[in-house]
Amino acid sequence: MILDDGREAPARVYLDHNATSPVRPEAAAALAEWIDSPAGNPSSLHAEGRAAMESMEHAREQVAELAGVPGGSLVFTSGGSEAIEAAIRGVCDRAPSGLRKIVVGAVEHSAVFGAARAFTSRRFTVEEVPCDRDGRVDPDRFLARLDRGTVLAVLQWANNETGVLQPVKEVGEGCRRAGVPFLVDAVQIAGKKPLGAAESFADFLALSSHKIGGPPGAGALTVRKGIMLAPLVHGGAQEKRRRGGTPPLPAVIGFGAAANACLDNLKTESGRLLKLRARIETQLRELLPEIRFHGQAANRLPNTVNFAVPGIEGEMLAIGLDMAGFAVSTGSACASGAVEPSHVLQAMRLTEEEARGAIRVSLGWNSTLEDVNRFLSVLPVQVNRIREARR
Amino acid sequence: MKGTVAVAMSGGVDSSVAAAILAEGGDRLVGFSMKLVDQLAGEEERYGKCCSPDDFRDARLVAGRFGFPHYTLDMEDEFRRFVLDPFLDDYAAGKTPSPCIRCNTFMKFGSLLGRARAVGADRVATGHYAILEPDPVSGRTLLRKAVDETKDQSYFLFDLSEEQRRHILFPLGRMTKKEVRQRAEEFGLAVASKTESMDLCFVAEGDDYRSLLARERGPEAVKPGEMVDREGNVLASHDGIGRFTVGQRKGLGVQGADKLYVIGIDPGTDRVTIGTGDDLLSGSCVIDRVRWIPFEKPSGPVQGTVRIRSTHEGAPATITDHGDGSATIRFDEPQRAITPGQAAVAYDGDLVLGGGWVRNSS
Repeated sequence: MILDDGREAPARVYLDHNATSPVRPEAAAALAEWIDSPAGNPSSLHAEGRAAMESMEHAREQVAELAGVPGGSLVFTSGGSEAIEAAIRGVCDRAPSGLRKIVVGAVEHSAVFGAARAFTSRRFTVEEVPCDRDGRVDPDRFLARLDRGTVLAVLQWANNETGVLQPVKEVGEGCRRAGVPFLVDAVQIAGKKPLGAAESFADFLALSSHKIGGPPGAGALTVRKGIMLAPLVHGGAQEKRRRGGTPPLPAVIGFGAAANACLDNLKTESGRLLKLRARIETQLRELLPEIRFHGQAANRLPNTVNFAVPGIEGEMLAIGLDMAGFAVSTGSACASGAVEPSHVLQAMRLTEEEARGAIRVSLGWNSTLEDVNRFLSVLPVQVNRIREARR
Repeated sequence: MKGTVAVAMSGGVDSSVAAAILAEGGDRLVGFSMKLVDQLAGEEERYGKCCSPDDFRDARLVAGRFGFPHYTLDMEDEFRRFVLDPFLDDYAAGKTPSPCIRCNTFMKFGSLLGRARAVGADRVATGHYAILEPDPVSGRTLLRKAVDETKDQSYFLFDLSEEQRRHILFPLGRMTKKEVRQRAEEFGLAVASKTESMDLCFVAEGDDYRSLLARERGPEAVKPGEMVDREGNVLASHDGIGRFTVGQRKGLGVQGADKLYVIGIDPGTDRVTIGTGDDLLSGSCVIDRVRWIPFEKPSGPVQGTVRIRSTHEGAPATITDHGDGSATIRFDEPQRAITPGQAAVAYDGDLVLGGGWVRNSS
């Protein structure tokens, strides 16, 4: 793009990886390879079908390795929301009549709330475990909610808005002692921090392709061996009868390639992002001393910063930044494009007005020091303009 | 270098063509749609035709077509405060409100103009049919009727301050509706054949204000009362003053009503007074919150053609400003149904002189 004064406009700076991470080159290459392939149906007996099946199973191993589970336990879905819905519905649909309580964290993604609340019409109850002001759910308080009537426990590993990490290991171990199935929403943490042997405490893990630099349209649910799950999509016998329908092969193959790329340098990449995040936080504190960081005292993802400048509406700041070439987020996007105050920040005891001030910056695989520096130079300009407009 | 222009986009044909014309002219644009009511919160079309997600999508597609950014702004709280609540207050007080004027003054050219400035845009453009032009002598910004008198919206724009008028663009002011539709076709805008939005866009079709009042303020806000004649004889009962307006003839539920009109509404006693056409005539009225446009204050009585509602053609009158924000309008001939809550707007030919809000008539 060329500016009015003839200079070339600087490239845009994308700082919204928690919404969608751009497709990694490795995933793009895998997609291109699929397009040029004979593209059979993985269920077919012929050579084209077998080749498709092999690519799909290769992708399954790649994603399973990122999730830290055996390949055979991983079911491909259309995305993170479907993975979460499949676990919640799959467990609740099969639940014996005495088990009617679903215990969830207060700052879960709407995919969890939506799927769980849909069961309230069938006399299930959804109990939310509150978090502290930094967005942390206390494991003991969570476990104290489990009882003989609890059918399922759900906790996110990392929050999409604040990056705050939850004590999934302690909670998962407690759930296992109590005999309660435990679903971990790993959509945001996958590819950003090593997951280790999650199977030792989680019965289900939900993952999403487009959050890790794969194409949208694929997700995965890992199901611990021995757990029976009613399928969400009945259809045919695909995915060992756990998810009917022909899998979205290009998305699945891209998902695998992105997972593999994440795993390749997970530790160094995590350290690199942490440095960039630290730079954003220390510099912003200097430039705008009144700034407030949300979830600051908690352990967080290395890529996520959530802040507010008192008196500045997040929506206007995000719009100003967008017009200046920077993509950030105010919180959860809404279908109509309008912004509702975040339920996550309100659960962290922010007032509605404080929550409306929130800006989320989330870094990713293509974020550079230059991106961060340019962001730091433009943010105070935008803040000042909003202040002046009010005078 | 000229600054960025913020275009208020409803998703309709007028604002879409306004945006397209500015884009074609090389202006740097940003599009805004205002979400004033939450249509998704309740049953379908709870608030009439206003602010449907499809409209926002249409607006966004037009912006995308011309390569400028578009945002939907959540302005529900401000709309409630500046337009919806005063609208309901007026009905509860037996007045006939004019919410479109307040929506222009406080929303499009108030809150929205403020937000435009926050993102570096110094002017707001809309698809209104009216003309704004600088007066080389006084330096003030004059408001004139649109070239297409059948579409003219200057009446609804009288209450803008000089500071507001200075920062507004009406690209359609010198075009006819037919030309606008033609331009929409030429631009290939999918909205070219969309139906017109109506006044009171936030009131559902077939709905009356009673149900809106009851929904927003609770059922106790709608109280039954009596219909009386000028002598106080009870003719009938009614189930809420909110459905009546001075000058109304239809739906009175009184025998021989085709020659009878509402001539008065008393919110204190919930009484609606019925009378003949002659009872509706008055020769003068007092207006409040007076706004003058070509000048700050007149030096003496002002002669002009005054419209007492948006559908009124206008009648010759003399306006005397009392200097305290109020003024008296004396019409050369008595006028029918001068209604409290409506705006009286004075013209000299196509030039808007100013206006104010009707307090009472005599």
